[in-house]
Amino acid sequence: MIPSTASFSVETVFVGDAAKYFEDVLELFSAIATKTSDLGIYTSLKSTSDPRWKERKVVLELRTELPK
Amino acid sequence: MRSPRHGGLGVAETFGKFRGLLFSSPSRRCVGVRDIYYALNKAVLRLLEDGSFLLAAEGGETKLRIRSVATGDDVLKAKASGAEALAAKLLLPEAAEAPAKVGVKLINIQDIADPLALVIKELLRGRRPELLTRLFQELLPDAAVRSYSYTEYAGVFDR
Repeated sequence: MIPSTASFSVETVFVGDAAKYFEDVLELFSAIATKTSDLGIYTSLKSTSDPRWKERKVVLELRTELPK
Repeated sequence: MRSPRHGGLGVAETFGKFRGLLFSSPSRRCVGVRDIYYALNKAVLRLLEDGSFLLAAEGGETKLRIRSVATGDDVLKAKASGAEALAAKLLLPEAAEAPAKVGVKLINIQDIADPLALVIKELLRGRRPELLTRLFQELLPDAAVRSYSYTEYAGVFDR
């Protein structure tokens, strides 16, 4: 069966020294998400932080219907 | 309809075609919505085999590397790979002087967010998760843990 929908997600986890990059990556993903959303792509951007481990995470998910 | 698995990079070819319309034949007025969108952007990105990009704007073409956070090492690597420009969200202090020294031009990543989103869209619609992974792998800092997933749905599993 020919697939009709494709979904791609990228998860980025920031722990320890990498935590300093979190905000810039989130801002960049936010800019990309705004544009992909404008282009008609289902876009989900999730950001979570776990204070116990000082861990931060950004997940960008993109989904679209495939051309028939 | 182009097949998702033809030789080379589908996006590069598709974009190349539109670039031709935009930059080689300015007298042509009969263009579609996509072309108009590109024209408004005034810049088109193509993903190249080595993970770098070709930025085509009115001023000509520039080989470009894109990083969310650029280190001095990234600047040197960009230069070594033949790139003339580096687009970054944040340039670490250690990298601040490097571009001028080695002759690499710096570009604000926000300025190319539009064409970058178009590349991502075309890769997803062209079912090229390996290239999407390469793109984000280039973009994201090495210090962060990155993982990717790709799924295709059909028929009853459609969401």
